[in-house]
Amino acid sequence: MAILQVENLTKTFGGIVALDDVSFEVADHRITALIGPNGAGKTTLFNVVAGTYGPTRGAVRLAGQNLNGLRAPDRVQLGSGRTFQNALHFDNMTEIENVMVGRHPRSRCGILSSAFQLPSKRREEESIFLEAMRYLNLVGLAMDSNELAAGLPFGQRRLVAVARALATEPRLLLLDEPAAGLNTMEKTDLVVLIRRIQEMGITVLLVEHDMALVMQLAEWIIVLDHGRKIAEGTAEQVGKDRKVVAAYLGQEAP
Amino acid sequence: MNMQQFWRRRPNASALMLLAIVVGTLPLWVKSSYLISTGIFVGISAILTLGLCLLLGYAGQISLGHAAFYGIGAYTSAILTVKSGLNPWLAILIGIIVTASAAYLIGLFIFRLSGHYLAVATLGLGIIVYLAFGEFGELTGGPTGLPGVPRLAVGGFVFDGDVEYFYLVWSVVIVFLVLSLNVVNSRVGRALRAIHGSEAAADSVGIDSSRHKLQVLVMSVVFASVAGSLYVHYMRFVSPQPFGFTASVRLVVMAAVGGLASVWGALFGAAAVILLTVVLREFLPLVVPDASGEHTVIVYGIILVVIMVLMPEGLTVGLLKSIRWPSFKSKT
Repeated sequence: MAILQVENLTKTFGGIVALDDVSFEVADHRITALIGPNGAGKTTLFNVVAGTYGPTRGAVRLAGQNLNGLRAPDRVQLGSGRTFQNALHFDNMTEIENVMVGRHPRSRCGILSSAFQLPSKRREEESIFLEAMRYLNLVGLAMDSNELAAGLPFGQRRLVAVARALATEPRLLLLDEPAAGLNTMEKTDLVVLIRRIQEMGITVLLVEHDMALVMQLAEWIIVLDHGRKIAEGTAEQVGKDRKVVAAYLGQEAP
Repeated sequence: MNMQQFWRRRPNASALMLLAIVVGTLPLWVKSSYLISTGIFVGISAILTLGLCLLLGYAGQISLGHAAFYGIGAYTSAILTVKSGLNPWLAILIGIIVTASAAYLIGLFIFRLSGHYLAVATLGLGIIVYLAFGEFGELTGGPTGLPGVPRLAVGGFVFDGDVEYFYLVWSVVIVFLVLSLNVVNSRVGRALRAIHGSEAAADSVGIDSSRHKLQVLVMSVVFASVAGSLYVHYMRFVSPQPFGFTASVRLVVMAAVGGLASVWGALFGAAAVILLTVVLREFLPLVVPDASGEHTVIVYGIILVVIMVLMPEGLTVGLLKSIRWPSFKSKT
């Protein structure tokens, strides 16, 4: 079963072709990595899947459902979560609040029940808080949950972003360069965390430049270059692929 | 639980109690009707600033035309009570509905813009509404205004003295303050701050930005509309002058002085700017002999620049930070 199907996806910005007829599937519960040199179109692909912008041609399906035309927030509702390359964006909130925000699509209290402090709001607030604490615990950050996010070290901000994305209860989690800027220790912890996320039944699709981490973690690898898919397979298969080697070393493929 | 513990555990509830005590006892020892009247204006401005803080400080959406909504509330109350003889409370309610609907329709279009574009668009809208108050003379009384707005009354009790009106206005302030605090500390409040932080990131956690922006705009203009109604029933007269561009700028200054993302700051900002206006009115003519309202605008501008440079989080937060105040330090 494929949780994500990308079908003939093309995305152009003006005259620039960022994605050129890319098709692949992400199998349920399998950690899949999307790799490729800089400018290969990895982040563009993430943005099209997440709904930041629509595709020029082609379709994206989540568990069989066509996502074309759905806005980003609606896709989160359907179970597609993501993190960004530069981690956290809510510096004006504390760590726990950052994760509580992630419960937004799984809670309902509106502006009126909030303003008038209806009993339903109190109950929901409590469960939002408890759930958020649970996700902070999961990434190992429950200790200083009341610190402002802006003051956190980089590695922790990453983890808060992951906890926030997990709090939306995704079926598919897109991680954009989760290991960038982390030290060796933090990377080891990240590998453990991503495996644990997999055990929770969430399919992980990650963009990553750290090849050691990709080889260690990914059960399936998709390689993009200049907006085209040039290879896919297991780590072993992809590592032997001449086109992949050429793309990374900058040689012409014979 | 002693008082200090209670203060730490429930800071908002404690501060609300303190505010209620201060406001409740103020007229008992302040006998100057001028000061009570100033207190009424501080209260009305606090309601307006509170609404603007939700929109600007929390959701991060600028409005340079907020006085227009204040004006729509004021004119709806005045026209309906003077021309149609409607019950003032019903007129206030209709004012709320009219203002909220106008804001909703405007918001549908205007929130396609952000940043400077949104600022310029709201500025333009504010000016259009202001001019409309002066132009539709048949309805609004034109530039000279509409006199004869009745006093507010409940049953046989008429709010005819300044002290009674002071209590009425500040009761509304406290109610709106509670509503604002509740919204800020809720799922919706977090969503607003998330939108302020980054709309892309807000998208990624399933927050419908446009929906939340519209909602907070409507809430904010409901406050403005009520403030407008309270204003005309106190002045018993309405003219375009208090709802122009200067008023909108003044509101932004009040919000900025108080600290944009601070519900309590709205109160301090409104009080600080109004007291400053009072002082300027007394002392500016001593420095500049033929000083007018325009000169006070210059002073507002200077204050805004200085505060934004020195204390970008506002006067309240800035001062609290500069004072070494152990109970405000975060626990480690």
